[in-house]
Amino acid sequence: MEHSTGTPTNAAAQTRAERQARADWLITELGRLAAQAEDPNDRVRIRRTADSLVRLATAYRS
Amino acid sequence: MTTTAVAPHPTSVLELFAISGETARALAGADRSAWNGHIIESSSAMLGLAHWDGTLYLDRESIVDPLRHLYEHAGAKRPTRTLIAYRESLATLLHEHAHFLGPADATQEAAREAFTKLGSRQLEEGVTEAWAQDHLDDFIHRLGIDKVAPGIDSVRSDGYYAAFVPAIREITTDLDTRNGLPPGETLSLLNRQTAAGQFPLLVDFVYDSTRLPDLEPSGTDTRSRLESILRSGLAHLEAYELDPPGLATKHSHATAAQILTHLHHETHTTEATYSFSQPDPCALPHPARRIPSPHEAALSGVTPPRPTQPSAALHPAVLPPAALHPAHTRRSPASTRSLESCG
Repeated sequence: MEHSTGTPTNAAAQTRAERQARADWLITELGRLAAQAEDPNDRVRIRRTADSLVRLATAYRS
Repeated sequence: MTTTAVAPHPTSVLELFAISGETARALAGADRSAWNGHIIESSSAMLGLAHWDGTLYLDRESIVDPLRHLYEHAGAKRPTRTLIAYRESLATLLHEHAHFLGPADATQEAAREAFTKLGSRQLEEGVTEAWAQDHLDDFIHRLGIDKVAPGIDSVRSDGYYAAFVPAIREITTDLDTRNGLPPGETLSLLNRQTAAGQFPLLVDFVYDSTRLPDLEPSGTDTRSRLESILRSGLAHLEAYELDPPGLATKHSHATAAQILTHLHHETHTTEATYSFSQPDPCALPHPARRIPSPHEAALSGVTPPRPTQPSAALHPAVLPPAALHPAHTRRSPASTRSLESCG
């Protein structure tokens, strides 16, 4: 559950910043996991997941 | 004699890329694609990206090189492993093109903004991947790739986004059934929308599958509640994104079942609110309580005299028909019909 003591606008901005930070962290983490994956299928699966998060991260930044 | 112009099949990876966007758009039946015609060969953690500026990024080693190899060895027999690599590259190409699709009035700016909202990424990725999986063979045939790589349409590979796709399939299949649509129609219609249009359309499908359009006045917040259930439920799928495919699939199905249960509970509760607030044609009227006269009240508790023989005044044969039935069991023709229709 999200808690906020600020205005709705600040809360929305905070939520947005948190989601963006999570997406960025996940992309970094996925890059690390893909590099370590020994199974080629796992590597592809991880990279496809990264595709989606990169799309999200660029949506925040555009 | 009438001839129909048929676009020639691509004979190189560049020709394939050039025609791939329009082929995907036509296959989806979408009004437009936001693809700007540019493809950038990338080398990073990702495999493909439909960028918000309209550019398509494809990984050189995993996506572009296999497709280049496909045309360099046109018509040759390949091992299954190679055919699967081609197929996966084409699946990524179709998937990314599907991200660009939208209705005529859609904008990338609205789509981009909507994509950051709760649950939007899970919905769009699930729809895009499920639709691309279902239409990959058609995409391959339209591009004539089954002639360039014989056997490509007979090999299979698992799709991706196992945390999202099963849930989206389960929810859209349920809506197909409830709305009397052909199988896959809800998924196809969602695929023609950008992120800006997908949630409003999905909420419409859920709302229209209930009795609420006939019961509810306009201006209620029911749709907002349904959207909230869908958004929070689909956003929850993110928790399973890194799970192995089997486990992610299991969690995805379970989450879809919870979402559908929550939606059905919400709509049934709302339907019941309106059903109870309106006259129920199936309900019998309450028997009217007659107020006793002062004389009757004064004599209450006194045993009435018993007639020693039937009175002609009480004989059924001389009573009016209405007096034979208590008031609360009498039915007008209209109410009789209503009761019959209520079973």
